[in-house]
Amino acid sequence: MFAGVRKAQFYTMAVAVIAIALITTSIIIVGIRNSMQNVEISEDIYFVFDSIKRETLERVELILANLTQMDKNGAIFDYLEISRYYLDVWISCLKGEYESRGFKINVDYDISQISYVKDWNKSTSVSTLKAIISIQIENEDVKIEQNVNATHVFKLYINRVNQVGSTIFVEVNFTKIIGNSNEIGIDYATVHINGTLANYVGGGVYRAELVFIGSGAVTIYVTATSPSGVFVEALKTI
Amino acid sequence: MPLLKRKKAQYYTVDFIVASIIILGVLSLVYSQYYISYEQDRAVYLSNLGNRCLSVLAESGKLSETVYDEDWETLSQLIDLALPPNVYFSFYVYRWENGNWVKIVGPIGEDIPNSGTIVKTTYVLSGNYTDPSPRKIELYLWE
Repeated sequence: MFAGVRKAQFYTMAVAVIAIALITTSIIIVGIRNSMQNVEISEDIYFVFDSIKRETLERVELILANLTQMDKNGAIFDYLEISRYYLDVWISCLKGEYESRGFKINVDYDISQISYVKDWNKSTSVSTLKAIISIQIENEDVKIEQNVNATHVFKLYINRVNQVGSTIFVEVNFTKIIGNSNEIGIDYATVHINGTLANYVGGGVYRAELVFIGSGAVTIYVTATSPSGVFVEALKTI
Repeated sequence: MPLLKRKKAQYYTVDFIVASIIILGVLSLVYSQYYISYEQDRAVYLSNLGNRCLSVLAESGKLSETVYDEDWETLSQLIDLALPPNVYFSFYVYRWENGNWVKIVGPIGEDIPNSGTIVKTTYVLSGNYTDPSPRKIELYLWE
């Protein structure tokens, strides 16, 4: 009986010692880990690829906006040189950023495949920059490669003009088309119709009501300035 | 007879010590592995949050707009809205200049703690019409 009691005490003590040791160990482990600043760098290759692709498309839009603006200002320029300069700065920035983080990156383009086209001074005004950019990124586990059709189009056109009495209702459409996905983007441009600020009504459509007193032909002159800086205009005579 | 009992007690003691060491070793190992994997899960969770937050802001155009306008207050508010309330953040913004990143601003947000798990996620903006120089946002997140 006495021996049984001693044995029970012994086991109880053993359990208590193990429990105390376990709690102490836990506190030490948690304490050590919490006392260290552990900065982990997020390296999700799919996120990196998506962001590079998205921003490369934005870069091409930026080039088109600059070319359109220079063209509108009547400047003489070599669009290939400008395109090359902007793309090369971007590529060197990407390489500098991601290669230092262990990615192997290759962004390339064929200068002979870049073209800039404009078609203005009509009721439809279009600026287009065509470019194919190859993006390749890899780390030790994954390699992602894609040829991106980075063609961008800015398109402004006078959709509808109705004259009721002395009021002229004008509807204008301004869209940004990204060739990669045939996606039509809406850029919330500031649109002026004969100097009057047009209201945005959704879907890339802007409307304005103009008061017209007089007779004869009326010229509708539209300008759109988008956040990306592009400035385009369209003209229609009714 | 008492000698035999003493020897038995010594055996018990040695047995107990060895068993305790083995049990403690195994439990500590299991616990620390579990803790590390828990911490890694939290780090992955924070990384995903950071990536998603920057992607959403970039897609909406707000990231570019606020960074190029240097409207840090609005950017802070937008990041704050995109993150759960128990996640804290701080960010830095850099400009690409002559082949190097030059800090424009930071840290903005909460003070980065000296301990614990902190996740850094970055986004590189390609420029805008008025300033074609790329920008980099480094977003630090922790709980």
